[in-house]
Amino acid sequence: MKLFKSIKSNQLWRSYLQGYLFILPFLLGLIFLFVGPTLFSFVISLTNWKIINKPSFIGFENYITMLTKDPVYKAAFINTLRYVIFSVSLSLILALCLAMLLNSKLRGVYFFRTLFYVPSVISGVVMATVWAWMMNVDFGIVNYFLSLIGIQGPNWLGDPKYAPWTLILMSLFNIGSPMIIFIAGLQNIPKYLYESASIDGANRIVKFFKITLPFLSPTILFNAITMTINAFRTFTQVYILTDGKGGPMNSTMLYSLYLYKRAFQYTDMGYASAMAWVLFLIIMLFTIILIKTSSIWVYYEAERKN
Amino acid sequence: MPKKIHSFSKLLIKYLVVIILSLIFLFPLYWMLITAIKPEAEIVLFPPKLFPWPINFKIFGDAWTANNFSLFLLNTLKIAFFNVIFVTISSSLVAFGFARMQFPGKNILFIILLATMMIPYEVQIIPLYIGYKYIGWLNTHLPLIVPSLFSTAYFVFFMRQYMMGIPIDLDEAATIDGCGPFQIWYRIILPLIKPVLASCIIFQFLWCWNDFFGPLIFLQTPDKWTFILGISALKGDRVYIPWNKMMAITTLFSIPPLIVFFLAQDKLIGGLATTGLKN
Repeated sequence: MKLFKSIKSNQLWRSYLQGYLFILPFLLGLIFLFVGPTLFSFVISLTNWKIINKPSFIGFENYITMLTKDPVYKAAFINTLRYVIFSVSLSLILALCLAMLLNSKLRGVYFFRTLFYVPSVISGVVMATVWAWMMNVDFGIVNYFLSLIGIQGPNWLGDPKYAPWTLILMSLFNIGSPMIIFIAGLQNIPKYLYESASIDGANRIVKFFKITLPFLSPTILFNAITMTINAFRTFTQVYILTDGKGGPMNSTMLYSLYLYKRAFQYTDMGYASAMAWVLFLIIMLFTIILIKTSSIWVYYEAERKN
Repeated sequence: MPKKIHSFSKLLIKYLVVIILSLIFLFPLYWMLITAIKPEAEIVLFPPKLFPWPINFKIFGDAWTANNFSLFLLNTLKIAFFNVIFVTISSSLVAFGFARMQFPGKNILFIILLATMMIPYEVQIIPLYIGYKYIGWLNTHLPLIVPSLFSTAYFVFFMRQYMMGIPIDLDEAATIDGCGPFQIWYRIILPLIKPVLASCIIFQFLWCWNDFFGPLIFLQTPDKWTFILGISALKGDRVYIPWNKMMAITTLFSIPPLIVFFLAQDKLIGGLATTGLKN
């Protein structure tokens, strides 16, 4: 009996071991690509390591310098916040409007869905290069179109007043994925709700605010979170558009670009690691805020049934 | 009758809005192509011509030789090839472990896997850079290939979802026939999840093709560059390179992703549509 039991537990352990073997790639990746580097990054952030020197421990000095004494950091922080707020909210609205237009029974909807998704397939490097050409102050097509209606086009990329808005404008072309996710969300709203609302005499606007928005709120939350995280990390577009400078006058210096410069141009690894950790915390904070407040404005069908 | 006219005009307005918006959305790509194939003298002509004539096809060849793009293309394809193979194999193994095997701590580990998607890459990139520097992998393609051996959380999540839908009876029958879990993964599950595998291959290819941050940081000398680094280098000194050449090379670069997208749009868009519904 005892022998039988030990064979059985041996078999059990064998099958556990096999299970761990299957997820071994993930476990190794977790250690070497996530946990290890994340902890190491925090340790580096407490030093003044610049690759060439021997690192010495300086406590939270990097964090203090960053938050109180570095004007470029401050500019990058404010620029990024502005970029995130405008880019995410405008993209959300545009994606939702497009999704509602393309959710109707128009002929050729699928064709148009594909068209609106196309810019999202194109690399950010290509899009930014094309935009740099279109927004060119002398020969750009955008300023030509503006001149047709009698507006003297501004220096989109050379004027610190306009350059950040060029970036935001550009980001609005990248709404393929949220649009598709919105369409899927719209199709999940039961049709009979609209029908009975019509019978009760509700008009379009009432239906939108009382049916569409509440039912779509989980989808809005999902899109808002993913778009906010991506917007905080925007790098490629601004790197290409400003040739890695974040100019003019740091007006387009975004967080990731400044982090990149500190780390890989000035090899200021300690400072850049501290920046990365603050970015990490900001993204966590925003995600938590969105999720926590969601109980106020997100409507879950399952909760209603309970 | 008036109601019919009313709804017809509403439909017309809807169409008009959709068409105008899609024209705006596609305009940058149109302008890229048009600038490329314009005769050289017309590029900075004001007012600009919206339809060029005669078409200058020679520009694509000129742009290709403006830098060592044949080599860059080869480097990109090499990295993409290994990535696609490694990531599909490793992710499907991990997904199989989570979907089909029993072991202590499985649920917690799966939650950790999902959590890794939340940590911004910026946090790990500096230690990784230092680590790769230490083991001599900087300026090689290894930092861009080796991580794909460790599976991708996003793919693991999708494959696991799909595997959960496959009846467990199949595994049990195979076990009775003497198959081990590895054989079940290889002979039964993999053939059944082909559609997801295809989606992952497409996503990973597009991701490798378009990835800019990784190559920018890990590759230094031009003999190691990927296609996209070649483009960004040209853009960097665009004072010396005319816009039509620039637009020609970005057009060439965009053709493979566009072909892949149009061939596989159901898979790409379908995969996305299910993402948003998981909550």
